[in-house]
Amino acid sequence: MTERNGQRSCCERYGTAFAAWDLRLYLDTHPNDAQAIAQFAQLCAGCDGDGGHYACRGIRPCDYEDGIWHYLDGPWPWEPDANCRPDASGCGKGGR
Amino acid sequence: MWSYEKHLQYPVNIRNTNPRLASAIISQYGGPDGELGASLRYLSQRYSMPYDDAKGALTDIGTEELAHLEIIGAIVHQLTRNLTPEQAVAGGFDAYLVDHTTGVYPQAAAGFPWTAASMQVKGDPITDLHEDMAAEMKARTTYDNILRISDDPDVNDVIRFLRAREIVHYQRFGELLVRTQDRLNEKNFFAYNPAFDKNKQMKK
Repeated sequence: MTERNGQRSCCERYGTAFAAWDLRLYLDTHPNDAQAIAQFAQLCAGCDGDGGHYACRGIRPCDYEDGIWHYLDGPWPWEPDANCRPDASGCGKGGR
Repeated sequence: MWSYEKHLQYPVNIRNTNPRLASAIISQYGGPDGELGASLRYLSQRYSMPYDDAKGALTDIGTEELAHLEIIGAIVHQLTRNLTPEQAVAGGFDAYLVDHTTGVYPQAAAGFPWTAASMQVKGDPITDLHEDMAAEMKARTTYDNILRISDDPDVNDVIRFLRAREIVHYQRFGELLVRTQDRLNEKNFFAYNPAFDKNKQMKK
């Protein structure tokens, strides 16, 4: 990954992932920016829908393909509504 | 919840040994304005933050700071991994070597261990967002100072990336502050704490 003779592919690999990550931060404060969402979708396309890199993990296409950044939707993991109770009929069904 | 991507956010490949530079850069690992404090500050502020956009940005920026912590650790490691005792003494690194050999230990450039006293989680959105903007500027200034004393191009390339990220984070927190103020009484943002005074009407 840090081979000097692979410089171009090294930069490309880091560049695509970084572009997607910076868009992700931008979308947190501009969740209705359709153009930014489209760019993010493009950078995360391929490799089973997660672009094969860190910036797209934890977010699925269904979280943004309607043009809204649903990553921000509650409940968040530390909130009770996101968590099932041990006596419920099944675990992992709490929240999303 | 966690997962780990087994590569750095930005590549670190440093050819020189330089313990003096390492003992300055280590401040961004365990110093008062470094990446450990930044990540813990932002991740901890999430719980009392009432707004989804702030929860999201604090999560994403907080976890990115953990990635930066790893980059700084890599820099310090690469600057010292081939250190001889003579180089350590010549580079003013002998005290650190005695305590940590060439391990990477979270301390400030001045030598004091990382402390939560350098960070705050005040539990008030306007206050915490100001804290975050100040934190990013303190980190940016620290990187400015590192660039002033470093002539190693391998190191400086990475430092410039990290410095640029601090400025972007500052802008993101600034946007969150404006959006938070927009949700509050335009005649008095400070009328109440939306994270605590639950009987007040809140716009989401």
